[in-house]
Amino acid sequence: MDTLEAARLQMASSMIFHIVFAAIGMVMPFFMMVSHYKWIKTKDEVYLHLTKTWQKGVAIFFVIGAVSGTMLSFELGLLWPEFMLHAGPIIGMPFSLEGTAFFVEAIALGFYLYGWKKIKNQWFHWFTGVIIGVSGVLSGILVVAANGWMNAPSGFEMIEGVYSNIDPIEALFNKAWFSQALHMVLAAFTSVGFAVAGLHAYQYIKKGKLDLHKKAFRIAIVFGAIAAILQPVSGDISAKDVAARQPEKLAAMEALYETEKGAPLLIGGIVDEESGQVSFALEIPKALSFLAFGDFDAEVKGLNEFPEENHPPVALTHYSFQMMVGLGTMLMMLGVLYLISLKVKSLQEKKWFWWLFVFSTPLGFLALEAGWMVTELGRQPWIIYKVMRTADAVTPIEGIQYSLVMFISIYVLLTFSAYWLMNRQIKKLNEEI
Amino acid sequence: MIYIVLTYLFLSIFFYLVFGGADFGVGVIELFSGRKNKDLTKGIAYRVIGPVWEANHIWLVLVIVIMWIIFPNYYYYLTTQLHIPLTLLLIGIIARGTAFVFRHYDAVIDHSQKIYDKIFEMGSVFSTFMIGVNAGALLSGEIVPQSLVTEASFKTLYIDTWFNTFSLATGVFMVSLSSFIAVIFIIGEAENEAKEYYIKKAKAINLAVILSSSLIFIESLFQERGFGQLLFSNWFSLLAIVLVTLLLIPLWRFIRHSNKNLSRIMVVAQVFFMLIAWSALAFPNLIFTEGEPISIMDHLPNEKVIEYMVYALLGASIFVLPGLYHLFKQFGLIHSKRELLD
Repeated sequence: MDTLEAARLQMASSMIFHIVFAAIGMVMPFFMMVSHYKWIKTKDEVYLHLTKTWQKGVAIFFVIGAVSGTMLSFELGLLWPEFMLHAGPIIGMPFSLEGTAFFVEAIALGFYLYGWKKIKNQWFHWFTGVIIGVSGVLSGILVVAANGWMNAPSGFEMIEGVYSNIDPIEALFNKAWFSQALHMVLAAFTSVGFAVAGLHAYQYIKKGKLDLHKKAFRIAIVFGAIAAILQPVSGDISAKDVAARQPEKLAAMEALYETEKGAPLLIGGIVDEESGQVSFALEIPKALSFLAFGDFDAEVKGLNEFPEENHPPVALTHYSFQMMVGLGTMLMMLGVLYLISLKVKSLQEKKWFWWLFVFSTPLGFLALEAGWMVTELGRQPWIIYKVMRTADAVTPIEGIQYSLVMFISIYVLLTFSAYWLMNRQIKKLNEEI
Repeated sequence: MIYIVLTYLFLSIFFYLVFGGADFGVGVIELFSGRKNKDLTKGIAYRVIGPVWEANHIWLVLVIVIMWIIFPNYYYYLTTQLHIPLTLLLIGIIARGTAFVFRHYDAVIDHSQKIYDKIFEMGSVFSTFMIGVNAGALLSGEIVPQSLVTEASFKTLYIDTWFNTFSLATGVFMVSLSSFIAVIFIIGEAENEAKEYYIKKAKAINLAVILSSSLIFIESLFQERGFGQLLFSNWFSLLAIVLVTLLLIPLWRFIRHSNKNLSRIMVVAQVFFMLIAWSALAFPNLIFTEGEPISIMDHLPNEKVIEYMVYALLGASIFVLPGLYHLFKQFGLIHSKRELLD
């Protein structure tokens, strides 16, 4: 493994790890706020209990998210110094705003966590929780905007190899920011919604149908279901955007080698990157052309149209894309099922209904990770699309392999500790009620 | 405009040293507290640091963000040549931060608390030490100017830059300085016997601060480092250092008279003048090298970037400072009369 591969793997593992905690940190506060609101309104102790349990979760995940986010902000410079040297002044804007949002979030969290007895006005206390959620989502949007810039660089001119006439505002509102941010926010709500709902569904069937778990499930699944049902719309916006801006990425997502009019949509299949063949795929005629350009006969550019040194890793991008879409579709259907169960109450009496949600616990996160794989792998070999190659951005220091091993060990350890802590949290909760 | 950014950079470093330092220092003190007083230190740590600790580390993030946006060239030196010590610092921060939260939020209190304690304490010492090592590296004169990088070996570029007596001494100094800040903050919260205990502690730490700072000066004279030579020729910095030392007199007087606020103000002022001494000494060549100096003002981005950065910083202050003020006030870090939590 050379330095570039090690650095890319380290960055990828950091992102894979961070994104889970970041999403939880963005979304959990909203669940907490609904529960807290119900406690204030109904004075039903169950909601107080639930709010306090979730708050511990929020605190733990916030810290792990903040810590891994700090790591990432260091790693950007440590692993990709050449990138930061040039990109720093251009995309610093969203990062500094993100810093502010994060600051506000941390302050609000301090108020909220330590304010149960200290803050006299309960609605003000509740409101500090709302601020946690809103600033969390804002942070997420801003960071994604910076990532959008890597896909759609703007706000500068390249004059004789020098990044000149930098306009940070134009860079912030690059062409990819909106579609990516929308997709990410919905993905966060979907994945966390289904994960939390699934955990509580499991507790509900295992621990004698406690009312608390049902209430918790309901709060989480409403967010998750709505987000999952809206997600395909956002996915459509993203697909059309990628088709127009990064044809190589779209071609890799669909493993399309030859340029075609009325290109089919491939479902599944095994990609042979050497020969440029896809076998065992299910083809839906003309669907890709329609999805990408809104016209069944539109021409979709294939990978062979582009020089090979500019090809993204096709197979991985394709598989990730398939996984994301497949899981997303499943979750959307589950979301619809939940909405139906609101009308057809007997569904919620059935055991399989709950088990379905238990099994879907990790699916949202898997889809989220797969989605990031698509956008990151699909941009390769560029770190800044068509401006700077990833290979040119990597650190000159040798021995990143060791750092990679160290970081992965830390992530594994943190993942297990978080899992273990959550288990203890749930056990305690069940003992108390 | 650029001077507004520099002021923010200065203030962020200052706040990080004070609040982050106090935060790290609590861990250091905990490590060196006897078994009897360990729980006491922990209790005070939660009361004083708990509510604000999440906010503390954001100063560091602010420093980094300002660096990479406005001083990318400078940041490039740090991230390449100080790759190893920065990574080590990062690992220390992760270890102590997660341990702190785990021990506070773990639903079950059992023997695992001991593990959290150990990680938190060791992590605090290690992170503080690494902050010092990184800071020391900038002043040590071992950083290689970009023009000579291609000829330099791995060892010169990535090891010698920070693994030298000067940087290591700065690391030790940073550990004692942050525990000094922390102990002064703790004294204000402690009562009776506990207070006596921490005053004793503070005296010992004070001695450690003086010894370790002397070590830095002696080392730099002995090794004929640019830092030492420059310091003794710069009367302003020298004056600031003398002032820092002299401030110890009123500081101890306020501690004896149990004047919590004034003693805290004194120690904060000491940190402030230390930073003033540093910036007066080196600005704008904040990285010392053997050959050509590296100026922080080289390769600045265009005026528009700086302008927007200023707006962002000013805007952020409007949002953040009142919130931070109220947070500190709410939890009695500013107020003199405070009730105990729970």
